[in-house]
Amino acid sequence: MSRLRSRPARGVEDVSDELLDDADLLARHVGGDHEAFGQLVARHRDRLWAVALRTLGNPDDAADALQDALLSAYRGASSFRGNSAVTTWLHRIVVNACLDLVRRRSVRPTQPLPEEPAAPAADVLGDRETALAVTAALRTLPIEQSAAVVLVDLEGFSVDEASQILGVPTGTVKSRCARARARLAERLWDLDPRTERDPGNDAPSPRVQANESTSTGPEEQA
Amino acid sequence: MSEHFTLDELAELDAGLLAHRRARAAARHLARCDECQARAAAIGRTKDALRDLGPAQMPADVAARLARALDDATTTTGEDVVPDLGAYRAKRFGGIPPWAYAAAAAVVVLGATGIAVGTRHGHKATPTSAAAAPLVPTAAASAQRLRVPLQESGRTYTPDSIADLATGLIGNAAAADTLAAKTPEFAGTQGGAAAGGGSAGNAAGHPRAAKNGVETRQPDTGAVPAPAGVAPAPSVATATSRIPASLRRLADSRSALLQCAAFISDTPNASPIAVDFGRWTNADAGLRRVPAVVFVFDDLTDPHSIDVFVVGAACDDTSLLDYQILDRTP
Repeated sequence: MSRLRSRPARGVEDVSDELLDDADLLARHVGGDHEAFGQLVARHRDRLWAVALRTLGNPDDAADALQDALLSAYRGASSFRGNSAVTTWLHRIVVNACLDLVRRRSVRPTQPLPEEPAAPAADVLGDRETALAVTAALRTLPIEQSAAVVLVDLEGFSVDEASQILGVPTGTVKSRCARARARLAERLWDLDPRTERDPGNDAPSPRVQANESTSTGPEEQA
Repeated sequence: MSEHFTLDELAELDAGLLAHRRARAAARHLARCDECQARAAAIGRTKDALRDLGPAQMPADVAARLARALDDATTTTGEDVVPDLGAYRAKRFGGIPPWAYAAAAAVVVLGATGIAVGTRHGHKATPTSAAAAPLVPTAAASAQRLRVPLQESGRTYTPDSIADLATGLIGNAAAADTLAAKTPEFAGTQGGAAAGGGSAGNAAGHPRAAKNGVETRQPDTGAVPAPAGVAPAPSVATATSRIPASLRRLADSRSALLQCAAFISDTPNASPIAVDFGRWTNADAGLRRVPAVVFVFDDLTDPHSIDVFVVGAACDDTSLLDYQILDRTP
């Protein structure tokens, strides 16, 4: 019997695609399967889009960063060593592309903007307005803080995972998230002005400086 | 009442960042201070509001743009795509990165849905889609008579097993030399069919074309049927061989396989001494059972060595999975 006649019916190999995990797809991509990477991206694209969009606060920039990131992932897939989940690796590439884009283009300050007139407090707004107020407030954060808080509070990554994605120690992730939340809370909610922190004081409180010492983000130099 | 706590400190308290003493003081203070309680609650509400932003859906135009960008990436074959191959070649070819040849050589053009192969060989050089990849030897291929025992063992190679398996492959190759001398085309896996006996016609030529009733373009010299019952590698080629679908392009087209051999070894008329279709597993690289072709070549500089290339199905610059120089005899 000829080899060709004993061949499995066309498509037999593909039936199990739904069952392939991310690492399988990435391995197939590295092995030359030209649809595997697309499938991998399709699986995660909304989540990656959310991270880019909310970290950068602007759809055009998010699309640019995502394109850079996915091309970089496409080409660098053979360097993936399986030490982390594929999703962690993809997010890391996306977040790095966001940080690169901001640092390269200065599309927004890595230092907080000067205090703007307070938006209406979110607690008197409807859901949709609250969402808009939150995304607007996110845009005022230094990029390193918004990246951290987007990963942890929006996307639900653990501090450990966010630490892997951002490539900074867990203490730095916690500290960036804490400061991001404080800044957002200040903008979002109608708090008693008498006890607001001094708006000019951006320095971290002394007890968290140690946590920041291994990080090089601009806010640590403030 | 003790001093109030700032939003920053309350956020740090929430994140578990305050030192114990300060955290205890904050807890004591919060129990009595409505204002600080309100601020601590605002931190919690902020986290809730962030979480409530919920999922975002990538807009269709962005998705389309990314798909285009990735399509474009698949057509790129230059050094910017994982240039590891250059390093491997430099090792093999004395540090001369032979991109000049690579540029002039058959370029594997990767399309969105298939793989188009443009041959560099003269008159039949029309790109063909993967689906329409040459099923029969082209004049170009016949000009380069592949006298190589092809196998489709489907076995999984690993960095540890490859040395033994590769020398086993060339053992079979030596056994097949006689056959190869008689067979202007493959001394190949069709032998697997021959091993089953009785299908000499298919084994010699173009079983699929015959099956499909397609008129085949015979090489000028004509194919000499392989002697029935002479299998180049009966101990390895299995009659029921099943290789990954993505390798079919190379398994079914001599010209594609020759181009791949030439490209990967960077030798225009590359003549592998053995080829096997199987899979590749390298746990360190996170690769498990990736469809792969194993090429064995004579080493150009050392007659006692062989060069083994493990190559992914695309056979482009990103496809080299492993490269080893091994002793010819273990």
